Amino acid sequence: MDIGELIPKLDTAVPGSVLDQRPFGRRADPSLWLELKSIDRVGAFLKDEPTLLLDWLENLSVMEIEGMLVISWFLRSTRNDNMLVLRGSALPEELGATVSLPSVSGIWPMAAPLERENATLFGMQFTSGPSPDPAGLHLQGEGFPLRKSYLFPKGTKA
Amino acid sequence: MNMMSQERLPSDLARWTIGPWHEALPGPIRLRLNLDGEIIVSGEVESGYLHRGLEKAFELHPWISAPMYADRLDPENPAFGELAFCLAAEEIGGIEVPERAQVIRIILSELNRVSSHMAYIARVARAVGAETMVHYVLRDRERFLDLFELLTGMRFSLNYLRIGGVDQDVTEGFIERVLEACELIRIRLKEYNDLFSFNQAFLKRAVGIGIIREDHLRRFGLSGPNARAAGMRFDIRKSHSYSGYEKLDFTVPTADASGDYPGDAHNRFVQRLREISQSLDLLKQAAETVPAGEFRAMKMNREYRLPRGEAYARVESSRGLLGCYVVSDGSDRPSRVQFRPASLSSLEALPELLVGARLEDLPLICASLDIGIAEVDR
Repeated sequence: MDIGELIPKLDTAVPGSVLDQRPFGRRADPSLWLELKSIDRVGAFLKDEPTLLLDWLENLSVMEIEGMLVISWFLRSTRNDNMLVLRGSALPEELGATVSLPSVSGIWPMAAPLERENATLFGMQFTSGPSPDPAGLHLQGEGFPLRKSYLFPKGTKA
Repeated sequence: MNMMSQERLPSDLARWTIGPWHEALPGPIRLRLNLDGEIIVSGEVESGYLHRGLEKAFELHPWISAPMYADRLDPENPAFGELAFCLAAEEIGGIEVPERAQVIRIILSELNRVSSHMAYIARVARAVGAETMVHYVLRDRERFLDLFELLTGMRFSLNYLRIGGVDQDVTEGFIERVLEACELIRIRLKEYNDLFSFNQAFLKRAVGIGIIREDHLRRFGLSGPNARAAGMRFDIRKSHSYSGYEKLDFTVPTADASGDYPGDAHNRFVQRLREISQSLDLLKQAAETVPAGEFRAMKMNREYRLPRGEAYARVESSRGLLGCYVVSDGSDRPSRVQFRPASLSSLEALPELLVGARLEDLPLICASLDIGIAEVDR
């Protein structure tokens, strides 16, 4: 997959969605940084585009670095060798605030359990799609468990 | 005039909630089923009961401790959790693993795969009430747990892989014992087939049950033996070769998608038998070609740091594609470790696979999917 060819197509289909192109990891896997609010439209395009057919969401991961939440969608195709990593970032408005972004579970149903997890553990709100229920975890402590600002319950030995 | 008036009985769907603990379930999950008599009309699954905060635990301990947590991702497949984590960490650090260590990793992975599939056979046999088969398989599985103990000192939580290699070199006599165990299981596979795999009673229970179709594969991201039993030829050991698998000669056993019931419970069972046979071949190849050399690139201590960076590593675990995303901020502990387990896809597909099935088929469908709740909930 030629990322140089993909970016203009994406800019035409979803204008303003692509912010940057930076390879992922030492293997330099193709990766695009996107405007978070356009992830659902980009996802729909990538899934249906005949030369791409990125129909499998392999993984959806969130991490926090220097207060910023970075979301990564690892996509691949079941019909060809195409793979792509989509990334977006969001800064919570204040400590402990949730972050909203569109859900992609309508495009890739496999996103649903991953979005549910990240909703509970990172405080992500996935909107404009099937609303995932938070995982049935009875969590204690203050804040979202996988954020760096999470406070363990009193008396916990970390 | 009809003297016998027919009483109309209410016929709403029955709701039945089972779990978090039930013999029929693969682990602590809750299933909410809508039943029309004996037929499952729809279902929902709720997980999270086995959440242990594993991913958070990685962030609180140094890099040297991380493989110990990684092997607790899936207690039946500790080698794959450790391997996925180590591969990602090595990619971040640009660490080259010695060839000897790579081959030892392959041997451990394939031993783990055989051991896990044998436990799967036992669970499926138990789901249909074939207790004799359960005892036969678990007896033979003990040989592999003994091999783990010989190599690592532990039967389950191996804590053996390290970033850059393995913790210790193979013990004397280990390779010979691996080859002996492989020969034994080859004979036993034939016995399992004679006793159980194509037994009419088992066929009647398992054929045409819990069928995974092509759209399930795509929508739920199914992988591993479940997907290969439905005709999808995809194996990370081939498509994203790692740890020296590219040097081994093997094919990916895949079921014929044009068969009678591709992707049913029986096909998933037979697929595991094929994969055990494949693993025995790989073990023989690897065990006969263990190169001389170092078993680790470097020795770590508690202050060890990886440079800033991130990586996503994939391994083919016994349940399917296991992904591990690791982020390092340059400090002495991981900044983020996230696992993408194969069982997550299988659990997500479970409610759809139950639709139209009889209630009595629930244990077999659950067992045939080989769902590891520990790796789903982390």
